Amino acid sequence: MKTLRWLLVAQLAAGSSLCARAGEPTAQIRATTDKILVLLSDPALKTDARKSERRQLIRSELDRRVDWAAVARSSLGRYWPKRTRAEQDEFIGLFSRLLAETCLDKLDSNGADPAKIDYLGEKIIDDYASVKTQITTKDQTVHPVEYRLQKAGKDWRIYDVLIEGVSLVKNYRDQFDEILGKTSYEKLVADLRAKIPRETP
Amino acid sequence: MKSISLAACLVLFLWPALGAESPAAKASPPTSLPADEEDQPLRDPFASDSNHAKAPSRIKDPLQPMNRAFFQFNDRLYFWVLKPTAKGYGKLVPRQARTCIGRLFGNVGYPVHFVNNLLQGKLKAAGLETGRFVVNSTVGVGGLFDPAKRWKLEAHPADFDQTLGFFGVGPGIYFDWPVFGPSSARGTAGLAADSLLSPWNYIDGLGVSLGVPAYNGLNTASLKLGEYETLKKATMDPYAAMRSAYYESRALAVEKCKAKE
Repeated sequence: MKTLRWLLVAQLAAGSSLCARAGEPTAQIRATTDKILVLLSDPALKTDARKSERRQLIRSELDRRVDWAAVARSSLGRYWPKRTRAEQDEFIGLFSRLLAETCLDKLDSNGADPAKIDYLGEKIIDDYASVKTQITTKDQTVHPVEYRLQKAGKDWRIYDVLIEGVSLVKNYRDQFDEILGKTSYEKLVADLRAKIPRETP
Repeated sequence: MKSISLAACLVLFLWPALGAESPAAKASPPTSLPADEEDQPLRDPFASDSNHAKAPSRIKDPLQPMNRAFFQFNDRLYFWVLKPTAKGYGKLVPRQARTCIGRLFGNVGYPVHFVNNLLQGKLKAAGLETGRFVVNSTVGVGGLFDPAKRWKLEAHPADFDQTLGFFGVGPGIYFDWPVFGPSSARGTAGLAADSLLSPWNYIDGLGVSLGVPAYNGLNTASLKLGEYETLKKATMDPYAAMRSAYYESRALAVEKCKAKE
């Protein structure tokens, strides 16, 4: 189940870039990826003392590129309109932290592994875009990663990531459907809160 | 030969549980699924790109209590047995050697890939797989290395679960088997049929037919340590997450094999 292993962790990896038919969505994905790679390879930020600073900087890059509200809204699916505005905002905050922390943990553990990212092309439909990439790991395993983005002003922002064809949003939607079919929204939020590590000072 | 008759029994036993995609089934909407189309708060124009988008959005799971019990069993098996063993094994055998051993096991999967590519009418893919097998078995020292990749002989893996899907058989119900993990009725039948092509089953002695795949599992686990932990940490319901990912990835594999060469 290679897919499972990559499902939640392989959004970004180190390496060089190749590009085919690059438009604005690809350029923006690449810019964010490259910025994160620079942060990861900066020796000054690798020390234990500056580890949390590095996490903060990467988190800001993620926040700039990922539309957490869209990811949360789509993941909660049919349960989304049933929540109040305050609950929705709280959910966006908690869920984005869970996803970002997972991504940051993974980058902390092996983000500097040499690998290659190929940009395979993009497709645009109105204000939506799909950018297909391919990540080659150190042991030469290839993992297709597709970003789905929506245009917001000049920016293209991610609303879903498909790893080996499996949608992150769809996967969470299935989990939330399962949980909310059996228990309450309050319990889901309590579980979500318990999952997230405490804020580091 | 015992394992062959076991495989044949499994195929026959599970056949009724497979959901064939009859025209009637295609015409009627799935009944047990959430009406998430109309409530979907976010439009995704790419979601309708594939045929798979028209399939039911979730796999049926009527045996969920049993499956969840097996999931728990596999969870314990991982943390209590597999992980410590794989850690110890990883200390004894260098990573590079373990990667080579993994490739060797992949190379032995050739008969499965070849036959299923043929069954799907993919002659070019079957030819490429043969080319890979010949090159990697000789120049690649029995499959320890993958020189075929450098010669543009890309892998085209195929399995019987995919072949059944290719001929319109639906996945049927979900199973989360002890040791084997996520599967479906079709996937289990596919695994049983593919095991007929596994060379280990033709070597006398239960030790070989069970021991060799078990060793392969240990070798793979030693290269993937920590990934299951990440999955558990990141998901709200790891069982549902694995079920969903299994269904999606198999649906995609079937969709890919339906595409023309």
